[in-house]
Amino acid sequence: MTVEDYNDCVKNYADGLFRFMLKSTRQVEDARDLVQSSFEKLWIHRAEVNAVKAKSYLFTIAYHTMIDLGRKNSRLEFRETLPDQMETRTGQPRLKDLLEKALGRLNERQRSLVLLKDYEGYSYEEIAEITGLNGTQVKVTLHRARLQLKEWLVSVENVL
Amino acid sequence: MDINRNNYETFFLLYLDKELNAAERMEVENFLSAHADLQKEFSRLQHTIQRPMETVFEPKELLYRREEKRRVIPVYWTRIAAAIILILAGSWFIISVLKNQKTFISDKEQTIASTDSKKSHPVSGVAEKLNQSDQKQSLDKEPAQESSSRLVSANPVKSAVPVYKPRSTVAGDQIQYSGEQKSGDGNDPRQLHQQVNPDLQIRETTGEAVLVMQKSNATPELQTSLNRNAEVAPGLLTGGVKTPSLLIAVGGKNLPAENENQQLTDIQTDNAISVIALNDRNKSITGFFKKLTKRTAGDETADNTKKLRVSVFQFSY
Repeated sequence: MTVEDYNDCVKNYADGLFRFMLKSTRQVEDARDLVQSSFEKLWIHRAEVNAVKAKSYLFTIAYHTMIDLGRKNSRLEFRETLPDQMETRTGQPRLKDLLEKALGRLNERQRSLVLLKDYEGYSYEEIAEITGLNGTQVKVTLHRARLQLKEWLVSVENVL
Repeated sequence: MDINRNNYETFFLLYLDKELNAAERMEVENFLSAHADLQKEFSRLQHTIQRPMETVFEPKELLYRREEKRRVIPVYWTRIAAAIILILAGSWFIISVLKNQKTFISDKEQTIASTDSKKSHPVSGVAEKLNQSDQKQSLDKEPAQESSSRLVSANPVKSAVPVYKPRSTVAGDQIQYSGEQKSGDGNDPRQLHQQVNPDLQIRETTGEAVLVMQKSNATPELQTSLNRNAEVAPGLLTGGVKTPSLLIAVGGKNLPAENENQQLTDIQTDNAISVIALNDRNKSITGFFKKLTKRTAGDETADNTKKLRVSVFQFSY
């Protein structure tokens, strides 16, 4: 990977990686630190990383770093309550906000797989590479996460 | 692919996750259109799909990198030539300086060696030189009828050599000049002595010049006991300065003692500095040295007359 390839990675993947980390950690500073450390590692190992695989490399590094950080820090626990800005003016929660809250109810692995699938559009195989799981595990985990989200959304609709 | 009411949920999720090919997707769509009651179920699963939000990492400059290019300084021939010229010029300068230092040191060593060889008498070399030249001049021009001692100036005196009379013939503290006197030619020894010391007075009595040596209360102490006849003329020795810092008086070995009937045969030839004074104020060394010559008493020839040569000198430093 050349310097130009690296800078292209910054241009194309920095925002997505930051979003993934922000949704996963819900901490802006942690997400920024994770992004910077991921790109720092990419720069250090740029000679060994193929430019085509750079995105998955970045997400893999970020994901595992986040897992390690989550094990050391309890801040990765999702809050049960929604932030105030998620409320509409009428006081009615929007679907997006409900999804945000529903996502917080998933476990760490499920959440990461959902984000990687929905936000980044990775295939099961790619998610398996990033997370270190196999394709079947990714598929099963994702399906379970979807069903949990659906059940929670249905329950919320019933309440509303 | 066999989709039915028992496994449709899995196919719906695969459809939403875009994990099906076009044919499989078409089959799911056909199944969904055929089973309208499952539309709501499909819609609920569809709502679990997260909608990407706009998130921007700023500033990206924290992440961008630049090529760490090594600075390459091009080598130009002009620079190389300039460097060579500078090196050569510097080397030449250093060599020349070292050479000059070496010459200076060798000259200094020679000076020190010559000084050491004459250490027994610091200015004997100068005195000898002066005496030799003066003796040569006096031998050429000295009249035969001269009697008694002569006073010789350190300054080059070509035409006239004053004669110094023994102390026994000088009244008080006077030194008399005698011999041929030439005035107006600039070589008069009296003029020379007056130039050396304005305090000197020349007495024109009986054809003899008399050098009046001023004695003051602050007469410096003699540093030698070899000759009690050695006298100090403060004005003469110090060039008018009353406080010489160093005073050395070295007398001739066998000068005739005052009030003694000393035989002429006792007088011997000697070259020595009689008095020397070091004056720090004027930065000068002043003194005189003399030479006594004695021939046998029976020899009446002019060459065998006794002589006393006194040369006055003053060095500034």
